[in-house]
Amino acid sequence: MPLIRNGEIVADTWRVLEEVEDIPAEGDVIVSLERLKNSTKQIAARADRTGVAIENSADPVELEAHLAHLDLIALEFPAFTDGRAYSQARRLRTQYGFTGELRARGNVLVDQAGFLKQVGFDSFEVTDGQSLEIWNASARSMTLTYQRGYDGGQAIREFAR
Amino acid sequence: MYRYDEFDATFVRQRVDQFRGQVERRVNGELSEEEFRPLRLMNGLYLQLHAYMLRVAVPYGTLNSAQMRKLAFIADTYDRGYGHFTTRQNIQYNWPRLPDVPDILEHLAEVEMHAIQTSGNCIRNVTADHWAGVAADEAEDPRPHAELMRQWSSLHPEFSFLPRKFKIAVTGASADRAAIRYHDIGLRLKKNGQGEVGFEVFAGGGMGRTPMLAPRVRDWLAKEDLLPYLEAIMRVYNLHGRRDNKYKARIKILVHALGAEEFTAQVEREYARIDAPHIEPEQQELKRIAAYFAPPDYDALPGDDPALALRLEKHEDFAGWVERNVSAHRAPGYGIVNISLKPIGGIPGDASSDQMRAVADLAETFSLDEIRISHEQNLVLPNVAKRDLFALWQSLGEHSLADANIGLASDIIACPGLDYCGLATARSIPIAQDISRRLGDPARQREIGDMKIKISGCINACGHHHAGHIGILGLEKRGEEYYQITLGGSGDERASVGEIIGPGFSAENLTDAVETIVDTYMGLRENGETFLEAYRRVGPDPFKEAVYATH
Amino acid sequence: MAKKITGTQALTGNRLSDGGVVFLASNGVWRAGLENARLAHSDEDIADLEAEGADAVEANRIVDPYLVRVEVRQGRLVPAAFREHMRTRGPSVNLDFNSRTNGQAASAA
Repeated sequence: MPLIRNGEIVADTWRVLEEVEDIPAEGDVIVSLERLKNSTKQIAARADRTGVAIENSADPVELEAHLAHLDLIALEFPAFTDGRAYSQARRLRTQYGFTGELRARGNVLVDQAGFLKQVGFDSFEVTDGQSLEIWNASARSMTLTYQRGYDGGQAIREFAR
Repeated sequence: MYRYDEFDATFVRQRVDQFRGQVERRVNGELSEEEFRPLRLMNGLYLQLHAYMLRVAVPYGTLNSAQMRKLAFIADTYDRGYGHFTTRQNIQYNWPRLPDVPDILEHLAEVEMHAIQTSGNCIRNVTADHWAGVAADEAEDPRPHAELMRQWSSLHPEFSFLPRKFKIAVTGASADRAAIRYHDIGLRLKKNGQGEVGFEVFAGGGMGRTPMLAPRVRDWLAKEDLLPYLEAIMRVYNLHGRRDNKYKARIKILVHALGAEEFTAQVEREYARIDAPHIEPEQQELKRIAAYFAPPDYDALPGDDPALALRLEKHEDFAGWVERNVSAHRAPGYGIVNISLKPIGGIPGDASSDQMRAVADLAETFSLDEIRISHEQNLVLPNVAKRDLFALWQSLGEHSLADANIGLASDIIACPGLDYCGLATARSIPIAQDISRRLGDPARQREIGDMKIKISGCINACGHHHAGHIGILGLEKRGEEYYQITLGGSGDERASVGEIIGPGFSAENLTDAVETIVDTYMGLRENGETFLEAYRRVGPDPFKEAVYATH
Repeated sequence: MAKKITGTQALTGNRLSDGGVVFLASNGVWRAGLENARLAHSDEDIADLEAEGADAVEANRIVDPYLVRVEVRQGRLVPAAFREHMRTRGPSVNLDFNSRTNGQAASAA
């Protein structure tokens, strides 16, 4: 599945770990919340990076104790109309100070690119066939935002009111 | 009133361009209908029974004559010469073509209007008291706050894919003309013990199949804390509102399930840790917005106009119109003129392009260029000098706009119903027409007095039937329309939900039943009490007995 | 979700361009008015209608086509469901708005 970051399609160095797999010492892996909680020490000791994928019904408070060891949090969009992960992302950025990579997974539309970036997502797993051009055009289609404090820390908008 | 600056203008134009691109992608097949639907809905475009329908926002119900003329132009150029004013202070066009919609939006942008978020599971057009800024009973003009909320809610990155639609209403008056407790969030400006003006906050009201009155979640909130507090409510709702069943997805269900106390506690917890300094608008921005709503330069006039008194004596029709349609203004020598869009036998809330242009001209001449849309589907000229009332009334009469029935039995709210709406189960408009003809004799309806009849063509309750003194809900059974009657609803400061009186009625028998209810009230009322007062005193039984004995 | 289909069927949808109500007629043409509709009486005919509906969606001409049951009432072909009946016949209220005068609006058709 193609991954877009900073307006480009990039190689995905991350691998989603199956539940049955052991946590490897090396390589960037994404684990489940369950794994994260049960293997805290092992994860803290890893040389390479660890990420977690959480469901959109999870409360980010569950990640609080682990944030120091997390380089990536993947948030889920089971349908593009299900907007819970926008609020999860917002909380992680502003209330928990998470500065690692926030990744959007699942069903997102190119037309949501702007919103996703504003709440703090920086990478997007897109379905095959979505063109990078349209994705970037969409992300840039609105350069203004009325909401203060929603620039995603990236100054993607020319200015906010 | 508010004027766009370069920021607002650019924002709306970018949005038009964005939607133009989306329409192109839909037409050439890059977007499927499933993908396009939420995008078009967020731009106010529905696909109804017979055609597309475009819903244009009139933010907090305020517009000027240039905007009204543009609405008339759009009706003539892209539609069939008329528009429908709705209970949410919007106007709907019933026949636009998909490829024309970006052009329509561009025309709207020219007069600082848009259709952003008039549909979809997002924060809808913020509504306000239609007498805001001019009402005699107001603590503060709510419109600067409504404008602030319009801006804040426009393409909000976090709250554009909510579990369900979200409606906010605001008033600054003691009398509630905005039905705030029937909204997802209702706001009332009021003074606290120290005399400071802030917001009383209600959350979790709504109509639909589960009508609920919003409980109070905050007795008083400082004005500058409004946006952070709203974000706290929205975030709790966005994360915890149900998404498994669209009939249980509104915030009222969450508030009800948690209980008002627990819901409030969750909101307060979120509010305590919210990033308030980054969300609050800057003081100078608040001042900039507020300056647009400074009271206009009213002429220094005596409270009573001697010429008016003479006219009132001589012209019975004029006097009747003034009595029903002109309301108290805060400035001496001025009145608030309510223009009825409820001609006897007409379609509630519809106006022709000719009428729109006439109202625009009259607003320019007589109302300091200002017009309002009321949630009761009427128009308002908010700033009319009493000395001009007679001339205005005569001009309104020339355009069939002088019906003296504001607040009377023929001033009926009705949704478009199954004549237009894809969701409707029965027709509303012919029912409204029939009742209005039956009860609309001028002397008779004056004798009946204050009476709110509200008709919805389905359980979604766009016609506000739950809040009707007499509410009518259209349903369908085995290929026949039938109508359920509720009594005792009210959307004002003593809000209540109407109660079903019994089995429904066929379209043929419904008007008789309504008339029987009205006659029963006339027979039992005491000391000039209104229908609602009488109903609250005697309860439903006398009405049930009368209706089901004779039908 | 398969549902049991009974009776004579026609395929209807709204035109993508203007949302107008149309029925699949012969030779893949979509036309207003049920009287022009191609009727299906058997499972095979119905499958054909649905296949052509899918083509029209694919070609970005028709939005969300679906089957409606039709019947003959008083010698006229009408949709069996009340909603479809209303949808096919158009608004029942007078729409000639600019010629209307106060208090004399034409009654429901």
